Amino acid sequence: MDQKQSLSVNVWLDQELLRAMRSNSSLKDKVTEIFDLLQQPVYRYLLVAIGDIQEAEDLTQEVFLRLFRCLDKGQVVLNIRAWVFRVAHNLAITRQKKAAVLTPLNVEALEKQPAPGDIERSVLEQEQYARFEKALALLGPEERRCLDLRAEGLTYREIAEVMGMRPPNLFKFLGRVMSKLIRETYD
Amino acid sequence: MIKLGYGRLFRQSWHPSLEELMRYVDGELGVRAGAAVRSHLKRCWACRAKREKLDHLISAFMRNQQSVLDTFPAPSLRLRERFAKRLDRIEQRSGWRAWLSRLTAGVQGALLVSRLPVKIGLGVLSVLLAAVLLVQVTSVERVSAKELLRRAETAESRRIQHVSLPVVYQRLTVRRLSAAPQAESTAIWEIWHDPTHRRFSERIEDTGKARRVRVVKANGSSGNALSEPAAGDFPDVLRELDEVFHENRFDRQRPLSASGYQAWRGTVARKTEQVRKVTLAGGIEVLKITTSSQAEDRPKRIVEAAILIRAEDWHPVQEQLKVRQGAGISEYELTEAAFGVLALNAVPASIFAGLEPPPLPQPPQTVTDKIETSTEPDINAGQLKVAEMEAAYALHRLRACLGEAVEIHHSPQGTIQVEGLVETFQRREEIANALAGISLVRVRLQTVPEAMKDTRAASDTSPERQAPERPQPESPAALEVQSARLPLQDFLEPYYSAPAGAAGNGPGPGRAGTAAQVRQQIAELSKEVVSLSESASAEMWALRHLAERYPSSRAQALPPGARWLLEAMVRDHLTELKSLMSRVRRLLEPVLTAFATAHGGVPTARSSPEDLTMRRSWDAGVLALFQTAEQIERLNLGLFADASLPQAETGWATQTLLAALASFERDVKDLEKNLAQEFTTLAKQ
Repeated sequence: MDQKQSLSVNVWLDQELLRAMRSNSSLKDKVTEIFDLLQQPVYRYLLVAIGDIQEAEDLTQEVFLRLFRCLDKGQVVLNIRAWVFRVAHNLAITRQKKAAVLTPLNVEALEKQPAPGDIERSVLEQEQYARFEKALALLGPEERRCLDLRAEGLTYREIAEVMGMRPPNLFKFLGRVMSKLIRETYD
Repeated sequence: MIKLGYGRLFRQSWHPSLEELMRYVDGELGVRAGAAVRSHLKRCWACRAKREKLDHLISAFMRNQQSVLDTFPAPSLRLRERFAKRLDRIEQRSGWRAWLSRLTAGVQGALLVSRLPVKIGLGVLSVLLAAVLLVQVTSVERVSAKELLRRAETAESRRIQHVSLPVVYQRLTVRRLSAAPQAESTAIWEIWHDPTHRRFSERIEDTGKARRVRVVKANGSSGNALSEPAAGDFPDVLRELDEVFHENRFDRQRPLSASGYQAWRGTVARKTEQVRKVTLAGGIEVLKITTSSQAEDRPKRIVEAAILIRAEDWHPVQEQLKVRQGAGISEYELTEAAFGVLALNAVPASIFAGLEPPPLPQPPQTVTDKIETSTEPDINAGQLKVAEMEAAYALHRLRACLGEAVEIHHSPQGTIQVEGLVETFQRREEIANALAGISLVRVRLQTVPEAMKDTRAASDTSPERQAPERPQPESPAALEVQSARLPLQDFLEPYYSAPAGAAGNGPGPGRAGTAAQVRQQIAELSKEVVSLSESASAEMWALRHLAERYPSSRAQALPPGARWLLEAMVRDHLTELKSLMSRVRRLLEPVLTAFATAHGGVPTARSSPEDLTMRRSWDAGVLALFQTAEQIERLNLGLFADASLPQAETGWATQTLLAALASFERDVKDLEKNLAQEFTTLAKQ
């Protein structure tokens, strides 16, 4: 399973999702199986986006309940993974609009709690990492979420679908994000 | 953007952009462009340093994310449990549907096992219902000849309105029935009528003498005749009929049409008329209007005419004329053998050759301006749908739907807008010309050099954007698809070097050769598979776009002409896709089967139970097919183009690919059934 969590994990996961969708089981069982396959990445994505464990768990459930309702109405979902992340993305945005303070990442807190291995890193690396973290904190929520989705293994096409962009625009958008990060970290 | 780099991929003046490098690092650049970047990176230190920075950023990001996640606990174990409970509750709430289906099943069951008297009662009721339906269906609405002709005229004009720049084509069999002293005579008369530019062309074939003559006229029946036939060349029956038409002021350019008949009918002062329902050979039901003139004793005057209008679609199919000839009566019959309303650009140029050409289409922008400023009140949704579909079909004919960045959408001004980016000026002209004849369509296309010029003008002064202008693509075929070892290389080398029927890796193809020849064979296989996969992907995406744009619910609301165009496009893509996938399967199946045999047995094709949720309409069928095709593409690229697939996954990927190829054929058959059902249903409406 760990080995499959590589680039080809997409193929494997798609295969599993397709199998789940085409199985003879009831819709409830299908959705439960999809929940088992995707709950961890969706939870991680929501957690990083909104920074609240309880809320991330609630929204994770909500995402898959919406999937059930959608399929129950007879609607067709082509790419389950992209659909699930799009709903998660929209829920996170809605939740953040309601919340007064948006705290996806607390950089200061992170600085107080150095990541494992920091001590071993060279001073130069540490300095660069600190600059990188500051650069990361400067990113807008949409920019940050693009990277989060990529980290969760979504392809660029899927990220474009989640973000509601055309793929060429997403390429340019991500290019600008990386350019910004390089400038802030290395220049 | 990537395509632009092909021309100078191997020149040092070209450097991949950060965006391209990022896609390359993520393995999403595409095979050819990826090979180009890989090759470039081997030689360019600056780009390699940039790529390393990207790698470091990705590592730093993942470390950062992990550190964030580490500060939070994993989702609680009760998350699944709580989800299952909520799901149960929702299922119960939405259970009324299940209750309804149980109720339906119960009623059906009760009817099947009910007692005899109830069964008899139900039988009688069914017979009564059938009788009522039969009466409803067979009863003919009483209409006057005038009303009937009006309906036929309306249907006629609707047929013409559905096509922009229409040309009405009719092939008629003209017959003079045997009457002494004249013998029976037959001719074939083909007519092309262009009402927009008032042009008319005809071709006549005298079946008795096998002669062909042609007459072309412009500006209506009184216009310039480009070539009049010599009197001897004209078939007798047509010459006589011409005189009859002239004498009776019958429109010669529309000899078999409701409007032409109505125009003649209006000139007859004293007449009696009769409408009857008749069944022609082949079971075609028609309504026959017979008009008798009571005061015609002059020669060549029509004493009685009849027009037969098909009841199904109000289309005239036959006309019968009785004409006074001296003391006797001659009878003529015009029977339609073929009919069509064609778009002008679909008519061979030779048909109207020599006539003054129609006014040149206005440049797209001018057309748009005209549309925008006009206050035409009668642009309705149906016309827009037809225009949209004609634009889509024109792009389809030019293969612009296969990945070219051209899109169709509705503008707020109530027109169809075609926008996008094309490679060259010539391509833009080609597309603009194809769309120029379609009404309500506005074209805004930009060429890549223009777009780059605009971008440069608006860009900042960052060094990355000051790169030299990229040239046009020169020869992408010169690129190597893959130079690294393929995941299947260890198997393929002995496979291709083994003689036919050799043991070990299973039966080889029987083309044993040197190591270099074997590597060449493998490289060719890889290139062909990748190339076919990319072509199939383009077709599949085009098919998916059609399915998403015109799902079943929307297709049903399209006018008949637009539905026909939609079906034609869908079937074109499906045929091409089948052909490409069939070639992929022929190439791969022997290799993959041999590999599977050598590594634990031939896989059985995966079962695909019907999923009603995904197979109810044609668009759902396309989406199901898309999933399978996309999976095949990924696996093909993983096995034959991407060297990063771990060895441990090769066996699994091979088996999955074999199963997916088999599944693809089933999905195609399903889709063909969906299409037959969908579009047959539509055609019947």
